[in-house]
Amino acid sequence: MNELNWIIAFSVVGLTPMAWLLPGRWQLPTVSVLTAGFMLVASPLSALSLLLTASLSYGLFRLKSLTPAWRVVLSISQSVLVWIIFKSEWPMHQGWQTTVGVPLGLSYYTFRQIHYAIERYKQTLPVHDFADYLTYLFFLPTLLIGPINRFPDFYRDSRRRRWDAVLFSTGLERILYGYAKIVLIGNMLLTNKLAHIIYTLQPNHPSLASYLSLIRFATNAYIQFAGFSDVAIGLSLLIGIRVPENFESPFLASNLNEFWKRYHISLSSWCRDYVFTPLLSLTRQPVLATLGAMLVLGLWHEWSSQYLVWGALQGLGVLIWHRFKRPSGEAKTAQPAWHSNVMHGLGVLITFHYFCLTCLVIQKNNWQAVGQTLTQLFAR
Amino acid sequence: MPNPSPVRKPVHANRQSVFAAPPLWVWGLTGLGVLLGFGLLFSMAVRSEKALSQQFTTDAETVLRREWRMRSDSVTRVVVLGTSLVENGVADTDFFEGRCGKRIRVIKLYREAVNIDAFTETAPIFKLLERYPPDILCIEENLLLFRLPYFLSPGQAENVFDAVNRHLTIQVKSLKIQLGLRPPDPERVLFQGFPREQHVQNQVDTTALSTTLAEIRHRQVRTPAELPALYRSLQQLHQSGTRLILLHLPRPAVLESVIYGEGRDPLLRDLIKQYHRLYHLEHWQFDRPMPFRYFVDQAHLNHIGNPIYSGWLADKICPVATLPQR
Amino acid sequence: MYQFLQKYVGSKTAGILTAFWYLLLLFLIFYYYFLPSGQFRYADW
Repeated sequence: MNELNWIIAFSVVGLTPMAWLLPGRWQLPTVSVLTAGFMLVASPLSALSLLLTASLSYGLFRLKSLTPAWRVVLSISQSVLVWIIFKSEWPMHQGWQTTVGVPLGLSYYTFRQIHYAIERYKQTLPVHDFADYLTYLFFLPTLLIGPINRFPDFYRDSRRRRWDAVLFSTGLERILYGYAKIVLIGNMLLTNKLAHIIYTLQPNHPSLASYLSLIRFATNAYIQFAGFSDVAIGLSLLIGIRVPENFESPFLASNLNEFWKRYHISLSSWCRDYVFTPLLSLTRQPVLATLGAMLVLGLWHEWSSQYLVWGALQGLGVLIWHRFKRPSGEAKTAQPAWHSNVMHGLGVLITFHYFCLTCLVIQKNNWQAVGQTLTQLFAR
Repeated sequence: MPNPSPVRKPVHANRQSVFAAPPLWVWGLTGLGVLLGFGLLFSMAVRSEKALSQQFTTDAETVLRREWRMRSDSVTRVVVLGTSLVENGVADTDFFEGRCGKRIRVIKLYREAVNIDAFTETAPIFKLLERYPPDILCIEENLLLFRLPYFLSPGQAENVFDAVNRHLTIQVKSLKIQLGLRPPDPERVLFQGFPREQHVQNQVDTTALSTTLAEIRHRQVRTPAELPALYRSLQQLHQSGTRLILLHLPRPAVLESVIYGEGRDPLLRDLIKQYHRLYHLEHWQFDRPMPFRYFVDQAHLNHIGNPIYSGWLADKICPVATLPQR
Repeated sequence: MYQFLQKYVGSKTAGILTAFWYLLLLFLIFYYYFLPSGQFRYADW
């Protein structure tokens, strides 16, 4: 069993009963303690790293000697520093991560902590204590695979949660459907069957094979991630916490801007709130703000040149769409209905293919392989 | 509150329209079904495993007895006993006859993904060998050197789900063949435990190298005293004049260096020496480092690797095959 | 699924049919789970 299966099994068998059978005020703290215990057993480094960054990101705001601006800067810096240490290309090339390992769910909780620091600086958070903050961070269902939920929502739900059989049943169903997505669509259809087809096509139709492998990579990534998100949302529901949706049929989006409102929503909305909006209000440069947000979105996955380029390509796509989109004031009734339908369909197709093509950058291990695949795709 | 009029169970009723989930007793029923279904599959797997072992014993006995009855025909009879490594690594008997230019018969007795129990407990192959001893018996070294984590009976397996699933796959496959939904497997070789197509079709292996490495690092080395029944059989075979060989089957060089890794190599060397001293097992070690492209996956030799290895094995067997007749 | 079935049959029958649907899914997941999987590296993030 891999880590994920252990998390699911432990959440269902260990956490869920505790979350309802114990006396009310012990329920969620016990969930956190069990989460910490689980992490200590599975990966002590993860538990330590989360506890350290959580304590600092909370504790720095208690320091009376610092100005609020310094508190937020230091709090964010320490989270980002730990994240960069583990997520950059450098230690990967040193083979460091294979010996030490990467803390579980690092990217997710780093961004949660940054969100917390900024909102705390802006004084928008509800009154809470350190234990509430730890409960938010040490929450096993969303620890490993997100979504990057927000503290105020979590806090509100943790206060309001009541036993609800329908919600519980919905949670179970989400887990089952999520697993079905991962195993039946992701593993069976996209990985196994389609990979066989691509393998047999390779000798005689290399272009077609490259094209299908491109599509396969992006769709498989989506299906697996969406499936895992479903499982995480379902597990949270079992404990009575509602975490936000992470995907809304992104491949049906008719432009890249809309796509990123429907794909990995918790990350893209984070980038909108904490990169795009501040950059826009500081510089008044939408182009800069868009590029900045998409670069951060790319680098979140991994601090590497490949994800930097991938993020830049997403930003570029959004900017191109902005440049050519119909001005919002123009009357839409001027065109017949079939025309707008065709245009919409075309948009969906172009967006999907653009996204798949950009994923080539992260699919291949080096730039030479990217170049090879591109020539295979277009040079014939 | 937008609606101040009293509504019975407002939250519940409201959510019912949003979520389409069933009442909890449906999940209870599902859980019951899972328990019953898995229990059924488990017992089917145990039964089918018994049947397969029975079949294996019967087939082995038929072949060994037939060969034993023809023993006065001046053909050297070699039995190679092992796992799927033998299946993929050792060529068929014609190869050896052609290579040696002598009358020689190589009989491969193997079951996929097993440890030594498969030949001593689940199927009494060593008892059969005692009764119908060959001229040379080669035993895959993995079986005697390591406590391999492969168990045939799902009840013993480390991962019960995996074991049950493996049997389920075989059942579904044979059902599909019966219904005409897929062509029957090409007749490969006599002894077949778990057919896995990827070994035949030479496909890309998707197992991560790290998974294989972890399995290899976890392997425990045996001691020369833990298989008493087997040792008695070996002594018996030695007395009947069978030449006993502990046969090395290569893995890709990268893995080979981990199998015979720093901490383990002295232990293995010592064990091999002990086996030789106590039970007359000669060790035949294939010394050439093999690259990954000689393998189907990370363990099994392919159409390039097989002739190279079998050629070496033939060169070892041919001189021995001049032994005087019993 | 349950809600869909409820439109056509009674709650009890719908529940039993839903349980069978879940069992079918679980069986398929179990059957295909041990395939070599192309699991993405999300667990690393």
